[in-house]
Amino acid sequence: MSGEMRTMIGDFPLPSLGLPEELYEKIFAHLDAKTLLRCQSVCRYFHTIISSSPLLQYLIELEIAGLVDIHGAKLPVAESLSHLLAHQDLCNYNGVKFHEIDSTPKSDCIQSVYGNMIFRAYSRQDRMTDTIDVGHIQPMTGKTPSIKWWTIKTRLPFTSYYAHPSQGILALKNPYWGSDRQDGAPLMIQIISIATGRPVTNDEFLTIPQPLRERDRWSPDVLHVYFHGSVMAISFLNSPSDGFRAAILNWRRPRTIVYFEVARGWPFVFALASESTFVTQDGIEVALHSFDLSESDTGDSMSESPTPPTHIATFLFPETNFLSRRLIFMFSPPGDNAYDPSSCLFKEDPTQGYYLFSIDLGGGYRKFSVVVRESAFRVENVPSVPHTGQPPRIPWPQWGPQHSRWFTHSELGVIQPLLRYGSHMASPTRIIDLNPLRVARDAQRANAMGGSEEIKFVKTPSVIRRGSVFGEDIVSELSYGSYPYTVPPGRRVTAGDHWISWPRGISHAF
Amino acid sequence: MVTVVVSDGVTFTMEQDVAFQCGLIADFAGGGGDQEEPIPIQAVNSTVMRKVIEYCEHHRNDPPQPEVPEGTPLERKDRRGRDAWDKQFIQVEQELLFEIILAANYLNIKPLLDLGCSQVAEMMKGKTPAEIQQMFNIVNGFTADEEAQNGEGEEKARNLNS
Repeated sequence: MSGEMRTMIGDFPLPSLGLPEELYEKIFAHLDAKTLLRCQSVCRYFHTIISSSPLLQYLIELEIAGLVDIHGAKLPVAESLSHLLAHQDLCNYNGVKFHEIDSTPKSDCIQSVYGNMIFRAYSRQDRMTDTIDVGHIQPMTGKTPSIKWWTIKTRLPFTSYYAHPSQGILALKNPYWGSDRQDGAPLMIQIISIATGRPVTNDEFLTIPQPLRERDRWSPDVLHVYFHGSVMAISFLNSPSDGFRAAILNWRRPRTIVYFEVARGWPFVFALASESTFVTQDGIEVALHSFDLSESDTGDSMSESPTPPTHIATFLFPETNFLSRRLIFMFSPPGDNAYDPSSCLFKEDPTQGYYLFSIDLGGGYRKFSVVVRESAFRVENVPSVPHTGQPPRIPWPQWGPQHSRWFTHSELGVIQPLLRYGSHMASPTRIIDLNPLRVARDAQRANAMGGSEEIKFVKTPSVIRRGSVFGEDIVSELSYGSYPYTVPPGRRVTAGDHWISWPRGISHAF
Repeated sequence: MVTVVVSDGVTFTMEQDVAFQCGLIADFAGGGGDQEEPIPIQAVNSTVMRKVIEYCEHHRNDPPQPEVPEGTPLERKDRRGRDAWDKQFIQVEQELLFEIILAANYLNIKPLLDLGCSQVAEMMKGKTPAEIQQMFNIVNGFTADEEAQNGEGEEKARNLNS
């Protein structure tokens, strides 16, 4: 806590709690985000402690980001704390030896970028890998980003990897599955720490029984591994006529495994929406399903869940590719949210079919939600509106139950998860277009025109501060609705009519 | 044997493995043989010290915290949850609870400090701000404006994945 804060809160009489400040922090660290937010309004002293403690704000942060299981019964606060500490360990690069690396990837490496982390795996001659170079892109201070590199060597070779940098973990798939079509062998997934390369699970491998069916001739290969907090979903690469399959489990407690299967085709997009819901998208149809990973009392052996995922709702979007990688929309189950639209900081024209609003959570945090128009949300009432790309005009109050989700920080650019937690506090909010298709199209066009990424704002932002550098109009601060946006140092933003563009930087490459 | 004398002049004598759970005493005695002079512990009174010793005696045979490699999630470092005895032990009056926390902090007994803190947190869970104020006898010191803002805060808390 900063010295300034201490002087501010100097002498509040607390008759029965004469504890030193750091002990309050310790006590509050045992609380969940909800109680913490409540405690802020107990007294000014509590408010100051909570809002000025990076640790506590970060705990709230983690919950909001879905990095800890907020359903307290499943994951006690002590464990949330340990996630936090594990995360901090990574932030501090404990045990990491950095080294220089040739900045151009070699031809035999598979490179992927997740958030502000770069991963490069080098294939050996047998097409397996046991080495990954990990690069952490440092915040830009000049024109060229600096990257800290280290190398993970795994004990056993693997064929593919899937990263979850915000939680500091990598999932590795063992080579003896799928590719050699060995029937009956279970899928082995290893989850390791990005910082140290050591397994973070109690057992070295998660063993996942094959989702084989009678007509299967071989085990389908893994298409992708998705994470949301401690839940992971493994989608399998089937032929489209074979249906789509996925297995969902809690990798911290792999007791129950849920298999999901759609008979026809496979969705273009599949994603975990929360620790109990996932979304699939097939064309313009987006479907929300719920699953239950609650532990059965079968002890430690992994069991298949008797209850398959339940279909909750299907909704249609006028444009496809809504769930792009750039902006995966996730929705909480119906009836779960009761936000008052009047508390929205920003409302978009409902005729767009969706709008974005945010709720200030205090301490510089906002919850962002997307609300989808009701009539497009009910499966038994799929709208008969001709698909013109223009949803019918419906006045604001008629908007139905609001289906929303938390945006992750990387999507909004609020948080750079691998920075030390204290630095999160003052990060600006980046506003993004709700329509990734449009963003992609615009980015493409901008690329064709000379390599700068353009993001179209739905609404014209107002420029607060601007100047001219070498004849170019440069904006350093702008606001969008009621959001202030400070242009990060090293990045230039030029203001057009209602376009903001900035040079394609490495942090916008994904 | 280690002897300590607390603020109200009471002297306690205990065995080394009990006493050395207090980081402060371990540091003081420096690990060497029996201590001749009683160690003065001015910040703790005899009622609280009795409680602390009770805790240390119960936990004297606990295995030491295992060394874990760096980077391992802490989850595995600290699995020592609150067992039934601990739960029973910490069911004390609020005033004594805070004194125990202070003593644990002063004497540097981390598990006891965690236990105390989690107990206070437990008491706060699921309570409204007003209830917390009443429980801890707190005057909030907010202005009317801030009070209104708190109403919104309450709203947020409710929205937060209730």
